[in-house]
Amino acid sequence: MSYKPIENYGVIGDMHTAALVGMDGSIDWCCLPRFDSPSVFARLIDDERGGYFKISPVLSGRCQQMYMPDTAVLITRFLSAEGVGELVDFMPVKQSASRVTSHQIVRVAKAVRGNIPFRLDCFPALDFARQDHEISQEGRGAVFRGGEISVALTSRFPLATVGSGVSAEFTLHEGEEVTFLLRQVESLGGEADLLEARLTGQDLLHRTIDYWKSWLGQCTYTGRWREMVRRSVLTLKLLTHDPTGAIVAAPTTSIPEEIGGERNWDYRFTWIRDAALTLLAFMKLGFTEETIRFMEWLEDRAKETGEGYPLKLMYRIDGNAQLDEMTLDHLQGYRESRPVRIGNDASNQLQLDIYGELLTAIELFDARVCHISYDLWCHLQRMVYWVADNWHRPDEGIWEIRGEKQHFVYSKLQCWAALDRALRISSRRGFPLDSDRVRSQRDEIFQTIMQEGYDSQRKTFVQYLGSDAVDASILAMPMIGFISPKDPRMLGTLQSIMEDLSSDSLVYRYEADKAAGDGLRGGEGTFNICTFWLVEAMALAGQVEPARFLFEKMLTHANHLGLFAEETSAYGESIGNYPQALTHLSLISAACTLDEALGRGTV
Amino acid sequence: MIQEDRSAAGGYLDRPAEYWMSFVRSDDPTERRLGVYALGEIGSVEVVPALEAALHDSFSFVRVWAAAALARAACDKQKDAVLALSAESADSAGFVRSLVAWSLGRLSYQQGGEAAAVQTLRVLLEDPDASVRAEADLALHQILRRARRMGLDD
Repeated sequence: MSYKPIENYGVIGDMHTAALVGMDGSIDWCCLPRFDSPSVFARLIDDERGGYFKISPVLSGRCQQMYMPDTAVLITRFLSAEGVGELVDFMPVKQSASRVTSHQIVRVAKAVRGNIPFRLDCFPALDFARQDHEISQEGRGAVFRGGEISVALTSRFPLATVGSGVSAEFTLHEGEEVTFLLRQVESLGGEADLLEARLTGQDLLHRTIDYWKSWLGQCTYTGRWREMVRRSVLTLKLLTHDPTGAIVAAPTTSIPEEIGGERNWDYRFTWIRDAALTLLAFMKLGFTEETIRFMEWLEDRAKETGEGYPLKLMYRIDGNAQLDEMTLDHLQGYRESRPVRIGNDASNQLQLDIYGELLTAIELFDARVCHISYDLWCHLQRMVYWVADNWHRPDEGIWEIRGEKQHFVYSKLQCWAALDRALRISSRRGFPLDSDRVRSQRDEIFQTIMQEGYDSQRKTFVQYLGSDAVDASILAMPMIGFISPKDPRMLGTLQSIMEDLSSDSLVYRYEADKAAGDGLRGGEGTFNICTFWLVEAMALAGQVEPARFLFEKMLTHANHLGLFAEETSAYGESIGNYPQALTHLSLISAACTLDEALGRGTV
Repeated sequence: MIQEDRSAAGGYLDRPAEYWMSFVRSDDPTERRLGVYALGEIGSVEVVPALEAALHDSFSFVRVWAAAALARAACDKQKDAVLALSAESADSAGFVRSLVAWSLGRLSYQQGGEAAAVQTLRVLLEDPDASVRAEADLALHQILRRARRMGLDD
């Protein structure tokens, strides 16, 4: 096994899909043409069969990675006594004015100092290594054809077919650079248009840099953690599907929550919760176009009046709700963490909290960005009445347990938020709403949480009604305005979470021995979102300096590029899908709240 | 003059020269191109005759790669390589002319030949194909920079 640590990857993308590039110059993950498409490279989850595309010097030395400032253009540097080589990786965006319309990865190898010998190995393994392919050599490179996808690699150097891939060795003299283009071939059976690489690559690089700098230029954040916040929002943008505005939870599947464990899920879909919280982060930082696009996507989902719940909790990025889960038993899994799953059966769960997160985002959107339409309100109204009638039900909750449903306090809390935000929108906009009915249910939820969701002996809110387990999701209570951050009940909860769920600066999501069972064996790491929630709750409670220390400590768990996975192990290793939207949006939220608490202009 | 350091490295892509010789004899021009390139990377004295023969291949892109490989394998053949490359600079295929320019920029010119290369590259600066012009421009800069470093810039 030669799996790299998750934190040793950088991410590039074109807002249709993304690729992970290791510090050794190997692309070990990429699905084409979309985030949720079958893989082209998946060595991340099977280092023998998964497929990869590596370009690196044949020198021993140190590797470093950085992004070109304010962009998603990744530079991998190779430093040795013999010389310095670089690899520039990016996926072009906004190609409407270009000849190039398909998805592609541009890789530019450079000899910065000295004459640098490089080796290239491109070994696609289509459809998670289930689809064989043929290789044809052409004048400007090689084409890999298999099943429903073909990819073409343009190379200045002749490529040797070696088994299921191609390889080359080449030496660049100091100051020289050479560009490789890996492209999805648009039309099946058509000619693979192997473009001239250098000028095409240069043109795409300039366009891509301009795009990212222009986009990030809208960011209004001027606080203390500028670099981390800007990298986080740029990462969220990378996880956005440009045609629809839908946001994937992460671009990967089955990176385990515990090495060797079975909590391995496919995150390449749009969770309503994650997307709504991402919109809040975008709005906090002054980005509005993304929120408008997502509202359109959401309205389309809300119109789909199928059986069951008003909304599915997750969709494919094109809005399709079919996410049937299957295991890929022929794949080894990251560091033998089986099974590898594609699809996600949690899509059929009931997670009542999604309505609260969604209505909270919509209420803010309506107040700050753009008034929502009457038609959307009609759909929301139907949703709100459904919540008023169904909040009593047990559900699988935010943690998507696969055990017995419970009356999760966080779910009730977000039902309260859904009804509360609906009342606000209706009042502000004059939209029709049976306010008495909604208000009475909202208040009943409030009373239920206060009476049954609070353990007066432990002086803490609990995970589900009547339990005595602490759950970090409760930290959201003051953030959504359910309770004062300095209310004794909240301060007691904060204390319990710090004592019972925290390990150094890291926070577990719940007490595993007391909480609702999730139906799975093994353990898990600490959840990054929980740590950032704790920072935010402490800052709101006036514990500003400890919150700042915790936040700064947490930032040391980011990788060299400022990226986070879903979880961090007790010894600081990134685990879980990567990079994860929830972690980055919660970082943004915590940074903004902490800045405000510390006071503007003082460092 | 053979560049011994590369031949000592033990072949190309972990395969010896004999393996790549069979590619040079292939009916497929892309295989012949790969074969001559690999032999150039290996750079032993045994590969020179095969590369010289490939200068007469029926496909221009094979001839260009053979010339570049010959220059890499044997410094005393660089002038021949420059002449061979220059002869392909009027090829009808833009990617071949681009390859000529790029290859001329990569030669070491330890045995001379820059003047002929520069003359060819100046012509290619006027090429109708933008990629050819770009490669010619870069190649000229590389030759001039190398000359300056060696104190040969007049």
